Amino acid sequence: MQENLKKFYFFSLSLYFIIILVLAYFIFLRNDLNENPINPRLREDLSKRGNIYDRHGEILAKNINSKRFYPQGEILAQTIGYDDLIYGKYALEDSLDKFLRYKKGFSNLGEFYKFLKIKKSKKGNDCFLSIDLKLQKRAYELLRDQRGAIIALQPQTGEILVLASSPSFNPNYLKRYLGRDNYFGSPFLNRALEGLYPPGSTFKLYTLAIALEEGLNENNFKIYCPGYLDIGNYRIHEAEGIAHGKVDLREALIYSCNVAFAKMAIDLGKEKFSALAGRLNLTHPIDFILPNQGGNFPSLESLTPSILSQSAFGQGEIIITPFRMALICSIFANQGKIMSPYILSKVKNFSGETIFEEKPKVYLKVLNKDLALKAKGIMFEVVEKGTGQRARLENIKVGGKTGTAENPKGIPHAWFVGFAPIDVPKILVCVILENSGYGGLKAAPLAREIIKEYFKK
Amino acid sequence: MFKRENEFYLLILISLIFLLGIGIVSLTLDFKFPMTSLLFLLIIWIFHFYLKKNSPRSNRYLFPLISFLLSLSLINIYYLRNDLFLKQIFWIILGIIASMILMGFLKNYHLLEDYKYSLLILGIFLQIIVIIFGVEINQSKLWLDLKFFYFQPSEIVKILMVIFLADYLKENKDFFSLTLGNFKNTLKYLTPLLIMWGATLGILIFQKDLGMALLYFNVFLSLFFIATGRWDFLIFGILIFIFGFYFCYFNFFHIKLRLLAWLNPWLVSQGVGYQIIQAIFAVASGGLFGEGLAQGKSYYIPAVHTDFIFNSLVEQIGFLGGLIILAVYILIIVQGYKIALNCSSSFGKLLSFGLILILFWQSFIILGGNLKIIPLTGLTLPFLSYGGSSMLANFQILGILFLISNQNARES
Repeated sequence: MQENLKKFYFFSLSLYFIIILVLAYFIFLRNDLNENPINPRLREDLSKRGNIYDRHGEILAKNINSKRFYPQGEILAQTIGYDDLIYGKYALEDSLDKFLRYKKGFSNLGEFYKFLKIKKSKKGNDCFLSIDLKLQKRAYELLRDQRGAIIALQPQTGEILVLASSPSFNPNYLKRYLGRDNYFGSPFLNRALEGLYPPGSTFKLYTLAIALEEGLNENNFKIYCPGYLDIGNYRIHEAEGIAHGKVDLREALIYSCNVAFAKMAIDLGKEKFSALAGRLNLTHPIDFILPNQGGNFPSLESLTPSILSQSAFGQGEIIITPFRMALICSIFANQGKIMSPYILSKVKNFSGETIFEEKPKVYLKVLNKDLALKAKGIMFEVVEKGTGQRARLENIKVGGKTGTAENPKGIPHAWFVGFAPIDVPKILVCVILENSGYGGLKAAPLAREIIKEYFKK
Repeated sequence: MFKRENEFYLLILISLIFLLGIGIVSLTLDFKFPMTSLLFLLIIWIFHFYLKKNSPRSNRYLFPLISFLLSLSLINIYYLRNDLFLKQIFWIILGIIASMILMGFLKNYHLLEDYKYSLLILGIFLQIIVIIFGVEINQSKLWLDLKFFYFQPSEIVKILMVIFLADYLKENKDFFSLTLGNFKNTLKYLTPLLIMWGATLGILIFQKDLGMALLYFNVFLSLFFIATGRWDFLIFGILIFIFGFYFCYFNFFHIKLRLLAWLNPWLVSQGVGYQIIQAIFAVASGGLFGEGLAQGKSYYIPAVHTDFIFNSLVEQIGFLGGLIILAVYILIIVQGYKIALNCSSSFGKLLSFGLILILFWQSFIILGGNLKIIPLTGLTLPFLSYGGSSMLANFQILGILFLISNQNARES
């Protein structure tokens, strides 16, 4: 009997050992349970969610009584998004969720060490955006009661300063907007990132980049513009039929001559014309923390001479987001290089320790320095004496390009994309106003206001 | 004179832990320290001095271990169900007093041998009463309505069963240890096994209590194996139990539901699987150190204070806390094993280990259910869950173990 007793004794201890193993399994290996959507613990963690700040520490999202509150309301609603018990998560509240959410415990030894070091965290991490709230407010003010978007970034680093879209919604009163079949003007659409528009003449910057790289300059590219150009049986018009007369490469951009750019594209050939679009990956979204749209660019086969010539000045089949247009413009503002755009600069944990910090990275090198410098000079002249004069400022040198994009919905979209100061651009602005007319007339003044606000100390 | 010094110091430590725990919980809840909690300290110290006087040489670690569990139980119930706190203290007082009465009345545990048939008949009687007059709660028919509380006789019957079995096996173990002979002998061999099997299935079918059925049969088989050392009986027993269970699975809907909820609760996460899923969430959110006392969201688990006290505690005191609780149960088994080894008589050995087997199997069955190792049952976790009947019964076990260990020490 003694023997059997001993056998059973060890058997019972081993059963307890199984319980310990299973306990360890649930606690250390099944962290997914803590994030399971039906876990009621998730719902109440809203009160411990981290805050979102702008670059100067202004609060963009915080918690009040276990609910999310957005002090800025409509001003950057599509960018911050919302986190709501009923409607779920949207925009940055969704994509930054892994930082903002309060997580308990740890999942590996490294985290365990940190856990011991910083004691127990009581709150999710705080996220710091590169957004400049002051500028963003101004941008939303300028857009109010219109449909359109403004995006501003630092061309040297890729930091997004402004991401405004109108019409907007107030994330603190979601019930007003959601659940309705029709709300006027798609307030939830982030037009800067997801709105696809024909770029019009702002796209001449794209054609210019290729032309400069292929060695065209004001000496070897000169044409005569009679106000129209016949390609096969398709006729290209200048805006309001103006004949520009003799134009060279510089003047073609300064006065936004469609005929000159059409000829330029045909001279370059469709292979060279579409190669850069391939490198820029124009038809696909950019790797960015928020969802954004890839545009449309005609395929090689469909680039008939008439389509090619229209594409040169951003008409025809080309559609693109303001975000993408801003990046194309940044080629010239940043010595031929596009920087990877980012909006999340820093993440700090509850004790103030930085756990993530974004560093500027080159996304694509397109042109060499000298050619970029040259293009920058031409863009300065666009604002000084060309179509972009309404973007001019007294004491700051601005460079830019206007666009007036014909579209099937009637009145053209007004575009302006530009930067300042011209020597080492600190800010690049891209403005689009839907169906509001000439870019030089409507969009350029908005860009000027943003630039003015930026340099107002 | 035996001072029971170990017990004394351990109980001081436990009293401090208890006050600290209740203090933390009341700080989190309403800043009011419940003076009634002092009643608990009073009764454990009364029991300590009672043991010092009447049972001085009995085991000195069992009571501190159990007091620790009781402290945790009260701290947790104060957090989860404020309204049941005083009641639970009352059950503990009742349990301790009943245990003191039993010890004072019996003095010599061998007296139990003389009453084995009366105890057996009492047990059967109680079970039949429940089947006829019992009230049905949560689809199980386990309780007798005694007006001031619901009494669950099966908790007491489990002890009666072990007393009877210990004596029966003591007398027949040599016979059962022999090899099988002719048909008549074989039949005689199998009779107790078949009776027990039938009784267990009866509990399963008529009282719809899967946990108790499992507990009774496991205790019986384990004790039978310890007495006889016969593997063939053990395997045969397991086989017929599986067969019986299989039969019930297809014929009784509530058993089928239990099993389905165990096999894949995620399919029925808003139905029968809800409880176990919430329980697993509670455990997973515990982490290494837990959320802290009176923290966490374990009140989301339905019937948490009776069925899922362990999960609730793990959420609050974490993996390490869970380990401590398991360690305490293991230490209780170790103490029981020691008591059994020190017994000079077969009856003492079988009885003491049989009683420990109850605590062992009961805690394993419910902990296994809590962690989804086996299907969930409605058993209480000894000394931790809320409940009057189980508190009363488990203190009787403790009382008998004290008697045995005291007598062992005197005899040697």
